[in-house]
Amino acid sequence: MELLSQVLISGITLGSLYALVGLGFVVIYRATKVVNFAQGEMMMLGAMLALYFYSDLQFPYFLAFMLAVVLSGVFGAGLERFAYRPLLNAPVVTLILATVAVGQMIRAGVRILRGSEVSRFPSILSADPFLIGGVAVTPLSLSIIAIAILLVCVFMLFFRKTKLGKGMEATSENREAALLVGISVNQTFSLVWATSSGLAAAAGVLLAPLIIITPEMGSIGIKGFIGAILGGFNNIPGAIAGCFLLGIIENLGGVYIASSMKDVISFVVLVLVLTVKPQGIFGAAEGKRA
Amino acid sequence: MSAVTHRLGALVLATVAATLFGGLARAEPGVTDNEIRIGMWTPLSGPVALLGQSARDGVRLWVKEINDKGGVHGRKINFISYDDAGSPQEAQTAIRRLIDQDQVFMLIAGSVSGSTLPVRQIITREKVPFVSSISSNINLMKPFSRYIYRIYANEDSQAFGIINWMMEHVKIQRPAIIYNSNDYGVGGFQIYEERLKNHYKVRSVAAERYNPGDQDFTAQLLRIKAANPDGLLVYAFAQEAGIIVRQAKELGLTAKLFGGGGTSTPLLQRGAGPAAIGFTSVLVVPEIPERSDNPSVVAYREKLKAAFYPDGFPPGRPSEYDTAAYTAAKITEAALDKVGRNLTREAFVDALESMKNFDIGMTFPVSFSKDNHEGTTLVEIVKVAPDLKWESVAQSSDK
Repeated sequence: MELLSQVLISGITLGSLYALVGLGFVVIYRATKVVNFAQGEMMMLGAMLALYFYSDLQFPYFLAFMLAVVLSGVFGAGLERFAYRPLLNAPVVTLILATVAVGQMIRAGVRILRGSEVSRFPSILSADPFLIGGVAVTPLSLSIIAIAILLVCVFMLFFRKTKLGKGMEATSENREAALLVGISVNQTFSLVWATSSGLAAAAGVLLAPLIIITPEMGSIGIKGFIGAILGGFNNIPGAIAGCFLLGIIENLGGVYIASSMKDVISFVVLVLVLTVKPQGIFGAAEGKRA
Repeated sequence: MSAVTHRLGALVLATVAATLFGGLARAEPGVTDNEIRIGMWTPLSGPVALLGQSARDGVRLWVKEINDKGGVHGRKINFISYDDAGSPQEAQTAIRRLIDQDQVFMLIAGSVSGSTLPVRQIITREKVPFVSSISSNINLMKPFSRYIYRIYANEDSQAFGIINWMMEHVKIQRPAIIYNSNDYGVGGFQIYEERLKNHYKVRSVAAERYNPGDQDFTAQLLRIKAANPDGLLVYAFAQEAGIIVRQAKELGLTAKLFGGGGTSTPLLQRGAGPAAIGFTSVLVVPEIPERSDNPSVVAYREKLKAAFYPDGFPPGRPSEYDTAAYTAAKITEAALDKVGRNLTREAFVDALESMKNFDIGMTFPVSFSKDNHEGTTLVEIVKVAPDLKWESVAQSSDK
């Protein structure tokens, strides 16, 4: 029982990070139909920037966090303007390949600027465990879960309640119609890329104290993608739930079946789910789109 | 009949003559009247550049010293090094350039295992002497080659060393292991299993593996924690080990932590932070190059600083790859000196094979013989001190 609770807590921590990355994937996909494979690299970039501001320049943690998120957002908007917008009328697959290329460039760029050195992000909260009913929990992992859930809620409200968010929704539903009702599609797209890049950066900064910072750390971003597919790629709450589920399944499978098989187990679950329900566990059947 | 005898006789004569005067008639590759060319391929860029830069500096420093003295038996050293970025393909190209184009007399230090094993066949076939000081992979010596030598304990000896320490000195009763599913990790795991079963007669309470590139080890560590071990051997590379050590602490695992040779680099603490304090591992040299007060290491640091780093060392330097490469260079010098003016590759390897307890104070004493080119089996037990630096604890061996 203790082990099970421990597995669930660890799974939720992992899942909350997947959720932040996964949300970034979904935000871009809904608006543009592009799967942004540079999402993991944006996450790495966020962690690197935060590390630079916090450790090298000794800025306060909150400021370093915000700067990393904002700068990554600006960078994301820049990417949209100069790398993706020129490809807007190209087939979607071209755009997807462009994101792969951008990801490689970010990784190589960071390697050139910072080297392939390993860094540790000093955690602001204690990583010393305390026991709740025999389950080891750290203030660090609790805060990560809390911040991740908070961010996810904020973004869902943003899409549902604000004009800007609704504009994004509208653009994703029908680009021409959105244009007709006075929504600037270009502006919306910039915003979409900025938002999702900022989200990725936030995930990176939160994730950083849990693992180590290297130019390769973005590879964990793919898990956010898988989680989102598992839950439903066109449905934000579904995708989020899928990411949490993935984190939990990985740990459950790893502990109760075989730890070296944990990635295999999550992929098997993914394949099974997609066979039965191609739109993901919580995904609605995709409607006709213009 | 007689014509055949004649021809045979002539052939025998020619062979004898060739053997006797071969050295004079055909110039030995890489050796001229006033120069010996020595080559190196190593990672000078990329993720493992620290190793290659350390090793190159160790050799460069020796070259500078020896050439300032006027060389060995009147020949100066011409040192040629190429960057392989740690990639097997680049290593192939570099080796071909060194052997075919630059025609080096010998190779020194070498590259990481992944870029050394793929070229060992060429080295052996071309009969180029190679004194290795980076790769600790056991397959470097399999099959045995007359031309390949290693300065420090291979990974098997390193595994023996840490397991001995764990079981005999710390007296772990309930050992567990977490290991990488690659060659290195599985090799360590097999030695661990074999030693526990046949030598210590102790059962391993948990053995968990992970895949290269994994960044989350919660599942493995939870299974290990459930088995309640009092000692955990982390057979991983330093990057992953850093995360494992930190996550182990976050999950409330109280077992003492040990690591294979791959963990004893400053990368461990950089990943693990304060959770690394007390982590025990093995180092292939007895002196920690960054902080040892052994006179030979102090002298090395001063000379290296004066020669190449007047503004201070880059992070992580000098490393054990510095002192190992410098020792490789010094044993090369001793062998070159012993051979004398009539330098050939064969005479040089004979001289290397005659080296016994060669010791300049930076590595363990190195001995080679006709059938053993593993310089030593000794390792140093090191521990992460409260200031997060490695400190020496004791010497261990595979005995």
